[in-house]
Amino acid sequence: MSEFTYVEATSLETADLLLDRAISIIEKYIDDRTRLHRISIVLSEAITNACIHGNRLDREKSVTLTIRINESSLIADIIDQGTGGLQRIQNRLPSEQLAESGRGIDLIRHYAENAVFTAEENGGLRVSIAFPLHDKSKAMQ
Amino acid sequence: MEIKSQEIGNVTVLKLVGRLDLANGASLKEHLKGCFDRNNTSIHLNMAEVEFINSSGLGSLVSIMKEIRLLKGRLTLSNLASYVQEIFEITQLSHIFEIYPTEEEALASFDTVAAN
Repeated sequence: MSEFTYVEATSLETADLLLDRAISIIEKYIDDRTRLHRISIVLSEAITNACIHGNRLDREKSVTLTIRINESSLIADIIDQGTGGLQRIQNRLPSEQLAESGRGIDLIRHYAENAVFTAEENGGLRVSIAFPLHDKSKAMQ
Repeated sequence: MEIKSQEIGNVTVLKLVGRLDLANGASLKEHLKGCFDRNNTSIHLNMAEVEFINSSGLGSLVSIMKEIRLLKGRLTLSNLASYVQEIFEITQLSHIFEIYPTEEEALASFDTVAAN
């Protein structure tokens, strides 16, 4: 298994930076552009959520991204240092059609094979997201 | 993200190049504010070169659409890559935005609406 960990101070640019690093790793394992795009969306949503809603753009707080890749799966953990993140996820209401925010969690749940939200001991939110490394629908054909 | 602006007839056409996310969505809103200040409220966004859009980018587009509706203007989109179109469908925003396959079809629709 290969494992990669990145820790960045929170800023508006953090999401792009961490996403670029993640993509540079993942594209070595997944060459299908559509699947790569879907994984990028999920990571982008989780990292942006960590920066804005978790750490509230506090530069003193960091976002940790860990990517683990084995023979069949890619698992990414995104961890913030905020408070109450899990409750926000659990208490969120369905997105209104013309809302300007609130669609990120829906996209994570739609595209990830598995998405688990847990609270860290310090109150931060850990989002663990899994994707199959290979397209299962093609393997079944 | 790069924004290439062009006036075609009465329509301001913006070609978006790159990622449409939180930071770039804010840039797009700022760019369009200048158009609105000049009373340009017929806006077309050609998204052929949008390589990535996330929920923050979608939020910016919703915000822009709401502002244009308030100003009694019109917003159209075109040339969405399949994976961008997919995001609009998952979030059901494909029912909210006027999305055309091509820029030409979108611009023709402005003429049709004006003629009516």
